Amino acid sequence: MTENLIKLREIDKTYYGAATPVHALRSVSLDIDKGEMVAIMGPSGSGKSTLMNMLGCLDKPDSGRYSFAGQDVMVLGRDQLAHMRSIFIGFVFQNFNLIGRVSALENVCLPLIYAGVNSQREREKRGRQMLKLMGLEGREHHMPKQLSGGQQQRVAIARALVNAPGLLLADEPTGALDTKTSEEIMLLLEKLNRERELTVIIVTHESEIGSHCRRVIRLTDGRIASDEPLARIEAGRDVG
Amino acid sequence: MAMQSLMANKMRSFLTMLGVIIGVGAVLVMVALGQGTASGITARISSMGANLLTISAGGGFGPIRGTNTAQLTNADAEAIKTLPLVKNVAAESSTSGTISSGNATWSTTVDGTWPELMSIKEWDTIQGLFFTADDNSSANRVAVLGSTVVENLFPGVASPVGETIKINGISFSVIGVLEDKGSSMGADQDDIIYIPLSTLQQRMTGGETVRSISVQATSSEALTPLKEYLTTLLRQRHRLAETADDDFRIRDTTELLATIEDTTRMLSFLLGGIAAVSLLVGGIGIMNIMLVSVTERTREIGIRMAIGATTGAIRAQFLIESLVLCLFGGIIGVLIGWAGCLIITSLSDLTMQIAPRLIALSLGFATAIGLFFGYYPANKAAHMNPIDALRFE
Repeated sequence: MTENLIKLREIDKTYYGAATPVHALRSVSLDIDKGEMVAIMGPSGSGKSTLMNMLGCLDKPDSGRYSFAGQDVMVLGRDQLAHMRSIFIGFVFQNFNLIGRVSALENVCLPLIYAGVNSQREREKRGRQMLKLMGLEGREHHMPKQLSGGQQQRVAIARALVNAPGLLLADEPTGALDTKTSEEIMLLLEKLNRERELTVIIVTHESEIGSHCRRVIRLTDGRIASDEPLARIEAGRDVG
Repeated sequence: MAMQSLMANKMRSFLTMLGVIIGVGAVLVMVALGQGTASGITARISSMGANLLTISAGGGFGPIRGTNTAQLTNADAEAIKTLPLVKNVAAESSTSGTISSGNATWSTTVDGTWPELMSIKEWDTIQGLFFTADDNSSANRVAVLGSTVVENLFPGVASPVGETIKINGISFSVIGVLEDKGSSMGADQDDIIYIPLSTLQQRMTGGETVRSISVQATSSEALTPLKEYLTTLLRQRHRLAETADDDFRIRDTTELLATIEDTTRMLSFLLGGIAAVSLLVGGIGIMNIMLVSVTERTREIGIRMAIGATTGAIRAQFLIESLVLCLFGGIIGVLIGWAGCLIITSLSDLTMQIAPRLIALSLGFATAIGLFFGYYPANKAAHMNPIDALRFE
């Protein structure tokens, strides 16, 4: 059997906030394979954002074991985590999180700078390719605020994927979009998952969005309440 | 990247830079003024002659005491000539005179001296010649004019050499014109006429006394021993008792030069220091605005971290921003300071000196300010928690 892309064992995370400690994650164990499309669902405060931060190497668990693509994440330092994010992980956020004063193309090229691609020509070439893939050809030099919500989110996806990571982490990717655009973005993510063998993890509280995934993990109070495949959708897609 | 965020806030960037601009400009003007003054004074003092001792009558400080104060004479000067370590000796005495040529008249200083004065002061004539030792011994009525005198007595005349002038009614023939020496401490050094000392003494002032004797030593090392010889010789000649004070004074231009150089260096440091304080204040302004900028862009920092920026990359971005602000401000400051120097020099007769070293120093200082005051905000940005930064509203 091949190594799992993501392997979480007995993960705990507690935040020591103002008054009482918040146990955001309690003893979470989880395996995600390469090429999966997973939804993490749960009410607010259930720990799904915390789980995403752990998966995305933005933070480290307090205890437990986490290996990503065979690498033990627990032993990594701050800059090594940054390196993991740079090489292996792409992020998409609810509010797009584009940098407002630079163009769409420059936003997309940003991760390449941090990944050490020193030739600007090379960066722009890859950035343009990525924007084209997202159907944004001709909008390279638009500023984020000149683009619609759906277009901005596609720029964000282009930015997340420009460095060809193995994992795309999307935190409420459609939370700021209308129903029709949401559907388009989800279809785009599905297509990327299918065609590029990209592992996609979506954090959401909308069951509509979750229904695009083949596996749904539900969290309650920092524990996994259920983890099941969605065969129904699998069948539905085969028809489409 | 750093440039983009500076361009996005043009007004703020400019105001922030203003502190550095004013600081660097002020440093440049102040130090240029200090150095200009120093080198001006130094040049003037060295133009008084190198390795020079000047002997004048009267001892110590203040008014000459007693009635039987001895004065320096031609014989004293002749005796000094025989001392070892002496290169040149020139006795000098002067009176004021009314000069006329045709209808033009001019009042000026008439200085009687020895021809050796030319070599001591390293002067030259631009027209004709200086008088010779023969002119002096025969008390010839020859005169060498300063350029101011020429301008006033012979306006529009190409060369006054060969003309006859009257000094206090006595005819002299003009044999030379001295090169321009400019003004020293407000006195026009070209408003003067030189005639042989013996001519002055015999025809105008009478007597054998001289106002001062300039003695040029063979080298700067010779100055100290020569001073001793001179003192011994003059005390002997003036028959001073063992306990009596000197009735003459020996001034050393090298000593004077050192004192004045020290003073002007102090002045430079003082002016530069005051200006450096304003640069420091500018630096604090940079730090302040960088801190605001870091806070404002917390979310951007979070995004950059999420897509793979290391602490070093974030720190570098903000450090470069602060450096660019300071260096840009520094360059503008240098240009403005330079312009200021040009304006000041053209509006007044202050001398200013902008050495390339000074420009490099100002820019270096601005860079250092940028690094120093940019480091704390940049470090603060670099060590943010990516999750908190991303959530920042």
